[in-house]
Amino acid sequence: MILKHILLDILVIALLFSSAYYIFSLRKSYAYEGSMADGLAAAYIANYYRARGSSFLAYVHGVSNEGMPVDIVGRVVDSTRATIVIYSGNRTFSIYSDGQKVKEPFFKDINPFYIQMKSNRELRNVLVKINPINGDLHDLEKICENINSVLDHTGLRVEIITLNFYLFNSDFMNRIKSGEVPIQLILYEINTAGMGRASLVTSVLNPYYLSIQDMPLNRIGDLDGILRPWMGERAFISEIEVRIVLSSVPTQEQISYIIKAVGAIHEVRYVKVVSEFW
Amino acid sequence: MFDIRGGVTGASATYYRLVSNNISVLASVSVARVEGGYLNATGKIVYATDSFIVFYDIPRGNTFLIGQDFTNPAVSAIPVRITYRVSEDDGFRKFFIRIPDGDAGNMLSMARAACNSIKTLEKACYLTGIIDVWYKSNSSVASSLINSLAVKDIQGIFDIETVGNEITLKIRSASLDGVVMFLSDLNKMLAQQGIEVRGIYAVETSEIIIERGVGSNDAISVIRNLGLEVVGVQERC
Repeated sequence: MILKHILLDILVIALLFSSAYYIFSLRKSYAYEGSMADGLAAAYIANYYRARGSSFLAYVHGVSNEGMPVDIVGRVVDSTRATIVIYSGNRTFSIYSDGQKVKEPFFKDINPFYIQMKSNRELRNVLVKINPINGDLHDLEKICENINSVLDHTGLRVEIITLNFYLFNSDFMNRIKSGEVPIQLILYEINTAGMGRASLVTSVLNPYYLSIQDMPLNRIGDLDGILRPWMGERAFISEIEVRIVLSSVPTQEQISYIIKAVGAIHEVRYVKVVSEFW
Repeated sequence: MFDIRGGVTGASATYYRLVSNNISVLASVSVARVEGGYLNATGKIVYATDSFIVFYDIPRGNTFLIGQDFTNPAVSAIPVRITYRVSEDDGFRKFFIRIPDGDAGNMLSMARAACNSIKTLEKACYLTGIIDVWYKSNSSVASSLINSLAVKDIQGIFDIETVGNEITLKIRSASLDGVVMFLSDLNKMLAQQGIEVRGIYAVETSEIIIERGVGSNDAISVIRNLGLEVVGVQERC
């Protein structure tokens, strides 16, 4: 009789533990699945959870601009009101559905039919803010390489490095103003080649400047190749953010080392290890 | 045979699901035409999104854009009913060809050469990409005029932007003949208004050739002989 009670108790405890494990594993991994009509909902969910420290892996089934069915698996590197930006195969893809009234609803990279997102909350992203540079894109590339070599030294493998920055060159901007540069063509050249999202921004202080968002680091040479014929060598590059995704979770010692060593690089304003860029 | 009444979104998703599973799809559409009247047609889907279907009407040999948003000037027909007849292989194939960036005139002549190299009666050729017309400053062009030209000439998905000294035509699966005609009409219009064009450039252009009657290998080799890259072949479409 006592043995029966003990066995029953063990069974109940085992059941409790397995339910708790199941609930916690579900909480750890939020999943989103939806059709293309839910693209806005997908972006909203990505925004909500990314703001609360979840990073996402995404699978998208859709059709390319050329009309071929494509499947993309990649990391969500950014999300805006109605767009999800996915990095896969050395380029970034902007995903949103046709019905959404976003700024550039026509020429997207892929028309999604099905989106699936899986999240985790592990700290594996390094966000580095860099002081403005008076130089060229290669100077920026060199700083990023220095950061990369610090990360290499920790033994951590880097999965992706993307860049956000503003670029201003007075000669270039004056020529745009006077119609001497086919700026729409240049923007499309950048945007359709998976180099991130380029746009021309106007402000009171700098009449025009180029905003580059979510550009993979290894495409910086391609960007330079497009801009160089129209722009002088030197530019003012500001609001620079380097976003690094590590392929494994760093230990506490590795995090301390990254913060100390990357922070010691002259041009670096600050460095943070975060669960998601926001 | 499927009867799809859920609108363009369901029809597009079903189409890509079927062709991804190696099934040929012959579509029959009943549409209300934007200019008035009703049309029944049978043909192939060239390209589909959640808002548009570019449809190739095989017997009549023409193309129209099906969409539910009739306020969009590119849309030429509103769907009433779409049915799919599926088969293992109806002989139609799609070839996706990459055309290098550069001068739009060269791009169009390469696209034309690729299209002409496929010797069959049942074929249609389409372009996807961006064409930028850059003209000299101190001139202005009425965008409504350019849109009217595009509605008249282009069959397929298109969008026009006029910013600064540039006219940007964004096309997706637009019939090759229509794009050629539009650029020729646009050039004439700009010349009439005394606007000097600095250059016309093409970016990220690709061509879709849909055909029946030429074997895949033969088609690929004639296109490659022109120095163009075949980036994909859809054996069932």
